[in-house]
Amino acid sequence: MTKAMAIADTTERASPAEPLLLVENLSVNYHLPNGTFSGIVKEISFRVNEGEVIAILGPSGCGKSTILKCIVGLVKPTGGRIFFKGKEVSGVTPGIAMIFQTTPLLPWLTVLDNVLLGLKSKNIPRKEAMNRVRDVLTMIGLNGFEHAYPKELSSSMKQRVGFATAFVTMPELLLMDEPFSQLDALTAENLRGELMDLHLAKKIPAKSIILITNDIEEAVMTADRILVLSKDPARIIDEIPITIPHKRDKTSAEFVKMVDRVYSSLLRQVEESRPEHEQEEDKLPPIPAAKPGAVIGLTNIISEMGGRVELSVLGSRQALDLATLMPLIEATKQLGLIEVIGRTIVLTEAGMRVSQAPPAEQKEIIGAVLLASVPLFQHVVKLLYESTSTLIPAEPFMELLTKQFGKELARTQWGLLIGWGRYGGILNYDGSKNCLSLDPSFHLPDEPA
Amino acid sequence: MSSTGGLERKYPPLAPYGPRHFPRWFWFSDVVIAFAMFSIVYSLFLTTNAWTLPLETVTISLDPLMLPIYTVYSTVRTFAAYALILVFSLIFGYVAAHSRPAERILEPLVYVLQSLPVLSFLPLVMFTFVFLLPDSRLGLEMGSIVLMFTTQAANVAIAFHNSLKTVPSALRDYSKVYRLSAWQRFTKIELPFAAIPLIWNSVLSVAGCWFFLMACELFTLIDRRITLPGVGSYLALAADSGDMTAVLWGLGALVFIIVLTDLLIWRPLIIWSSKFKYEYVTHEVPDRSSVIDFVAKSRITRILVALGKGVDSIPFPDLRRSPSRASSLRPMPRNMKAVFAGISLLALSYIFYLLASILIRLPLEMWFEVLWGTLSTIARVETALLLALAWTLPVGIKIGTNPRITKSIQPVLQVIASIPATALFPVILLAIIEGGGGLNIASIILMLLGMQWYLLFNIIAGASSIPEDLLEASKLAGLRGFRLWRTVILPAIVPYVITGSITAQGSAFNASVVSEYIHFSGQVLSTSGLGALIALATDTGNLPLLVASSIAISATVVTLNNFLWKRLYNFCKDRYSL
Repeated sequence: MTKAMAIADTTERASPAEPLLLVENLSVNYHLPNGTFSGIVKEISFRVNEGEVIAILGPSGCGKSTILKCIVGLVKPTGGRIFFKGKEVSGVTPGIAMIFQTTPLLPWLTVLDNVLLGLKSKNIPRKEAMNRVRDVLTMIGLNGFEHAYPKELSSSMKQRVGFATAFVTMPELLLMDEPFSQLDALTAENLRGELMDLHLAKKIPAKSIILITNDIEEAVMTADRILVLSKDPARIIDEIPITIPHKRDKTSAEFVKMVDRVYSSLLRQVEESRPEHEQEEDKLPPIPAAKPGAVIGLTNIISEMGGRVELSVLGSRQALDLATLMPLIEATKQLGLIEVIGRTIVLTEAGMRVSQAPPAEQKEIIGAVLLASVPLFQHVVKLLYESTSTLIPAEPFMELLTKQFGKELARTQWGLLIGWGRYGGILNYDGSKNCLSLDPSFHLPDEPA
Repeated sequence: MSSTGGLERKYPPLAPYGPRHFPRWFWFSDVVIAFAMFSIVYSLFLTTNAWTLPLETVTISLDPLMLPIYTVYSTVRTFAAYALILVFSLIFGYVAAHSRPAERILEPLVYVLQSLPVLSFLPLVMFTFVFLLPDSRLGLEMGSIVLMFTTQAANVAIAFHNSLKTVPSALRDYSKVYRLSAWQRFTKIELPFAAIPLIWNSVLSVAGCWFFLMACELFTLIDRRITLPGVGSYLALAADSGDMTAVLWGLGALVFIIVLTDLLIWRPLIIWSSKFKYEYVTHEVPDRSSVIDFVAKSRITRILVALGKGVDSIPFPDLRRSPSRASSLRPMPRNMKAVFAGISLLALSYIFYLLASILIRLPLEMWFEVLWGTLSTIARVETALLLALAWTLPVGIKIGTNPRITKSIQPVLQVIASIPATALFPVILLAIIEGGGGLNIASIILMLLGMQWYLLFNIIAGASSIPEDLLEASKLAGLRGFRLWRTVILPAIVPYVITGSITAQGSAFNASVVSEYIHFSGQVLSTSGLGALIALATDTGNLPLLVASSIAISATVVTLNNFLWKRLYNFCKDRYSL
């Protein structure tokens, strides 16, 4: 470490036996209009020891960012406790720094001023602050850019400034929320490599790092332990230690084995799908969260590959990241077009038919499949059939969705309902009148055309 | 920090103005800046000195040679009012954005403030200052400045408040994570984020101050006719005595000072403010301002900037180092709420009581006059609006859809728009009267002249925000002329037209007090309308009539805004936003 940083490093060290961070039964809920709670995060517990890199892996929108925000003190948890160096966390704590997905740099300050901002809250004399900032900027590779404005920087440089702002506060715990996801693959790899090098050489002040990521390979490459989360609500479904020595090689056998292990863990979650929802009688499961085009595309790909494919092969061949792939697989499975057996995905008969039919027939099959496997559609069609007029205002349906899923989710569900309904030739939606109606060409399976 | 010499001309830097851009020192810049600072200080000295003179020495002469000093007086008054407006808006915006209960009281207050025309405030403001500083010119001057402030403060305050409310949560999280104190957050995040709307609205506000200059420098207080020396009173007096040459001289002085402030202050400020645009990628090279370049060459500027940085880096004693709470608003304790509600209820009832006791004194016939006046003014305002739209729509669309024309014509338009129509009014009135028309038509034209710029600029903004590829695709599809307008352009700019109309309408109602009732050539010309009633009431010291008409005009503006325009805006926003 440089001289300036060594002088400043007078922080207390936690004893080796005590973890740096302890999260106990963390829960975050939000209220639904009908009075019940919906969980974003449900009873998460884990610990982070000194010197560890923890990767939190899981599909998008499952509450990973919320966990980090609780740790850093931006969000108050509904239940559970967080301990940092033995003391309970309540509000923003010094010693914990966070790096965001896209660093919110202030466009009206230079790089130097932006990084200095991190030190504003500590009363450090100006000279020492400037030295620290200069050292960190050199370390992170932004030498010479001190007086540049964010507008002049590329996205990877902007992320580096984000890193610098975090490092300059000498944190002991560094939280990173998908820091490389907004960069292109090459730049991300470069930056990630640099970061790991710095961490291994103990040049970063932070002792431990928690990294949220969507990318399985990134997780296996960097982490000492991977926490796999489910979504809706977020729960830890698996904790995988990675013992491969650094520098890790993507092509090595042990690396591939670890990646497979993670994929299995994720797929297992898809297999044991949704017992929670089905238990509650009057709760209808949500509509598959994927677009019709993507689902049909997936069946086409699997059909091309012979009707069955291993998940890891699919992921790497199509260069799809976890955030896109997992919901797509879940959705296609929910529609009964594929089956998940272990680590393999197999096309069902219906899936086979869909992938080989011409577009017009595809729509019909999808329509039938929707009715058969998505109860919400059955419900909506029933309501439309039973009404006396052909056009029904959309409000009661929106209310129904809001009651089931809460305001936020209801909007997405509504969009999916219309999208799938139109595609499958079941529903028509008139935007100017905000009304739903049955498609005239639609008929129930046991009715004559 | 060396300059790159001539290269800067050919390859202008992408970055906004900043510490890196200090060019080579040029001694002449120092001279000019020193001279400017000296003249400002001297003007202030002259003006404040004049304010301490006894009341009897206040006279106005129509001699053009007095115009320079009158211009100085008026400029100092206007910018003093602006300083007040700025401080008020910063405080109002900050308090209203950070405290929900305060917002609930302050916001409607400011909206009512905005809907009342200048003369409605006259008695209240002037009485207060005459009471505080009796029999002195200082009291009248203070009153005049505060009067100007009351009419133009609202839009800056509202714009700043809205900006603060829309600070992105990413920035707010950032300030929490790095534990910035409230002051640091205000100076580093909130103020810069709101800088651009703040500056634009300041330009509008000061333009509004010039618009009402005449009304704020020459007015009647109970029985006395008060004249404060300045360009406004000069113009008003010239019009009253029918001295057209004097009117032209006064107009010239006013235009001169407005163009000067535009070139030396507003234009460079706007160019500098592009630094505060909340965007991370920029595709266009930012404008250069020759004024900023010139000023940057001076050593004095460098000293001032270094001073500023020095002040900024003083570690402020942290007054409230509480660990930032996760929730942003602290709910008020129960009993405080009750006390608060009780006090506001008492205050409201007292105000109602006061108003009622004044209004009772108004005879019934006058109430009919007020009603009739309301209808007439509404008719006049909406006619002016339609007339304005008739020309601003085609011209604005033509300019807005043509980026090259937009860039070149915008500064010219801004200068023309800042010339107050009230100063031109005597000339226009004369022309109309000689042409056989009456005050009715002339007042519509005056309202038109004042409000058309709000419409034009909004329409230009709307037309220039239509995506290029949409226009190109439409032209390829064969849409042109009227059909292109009907299907693509008009729907796209509807929200902008509505926003412009709301502001334009407000300005027209405000202008009614100076357009429906005029002292011209020794006589009083007036037409039926709320503005005329308010002006008449001020002239004759008729408080009940003043209060009644003010309430009528405020109610009209607020009702029209909420029940007509806001509904229209919400309807169109969903339908037509791109």
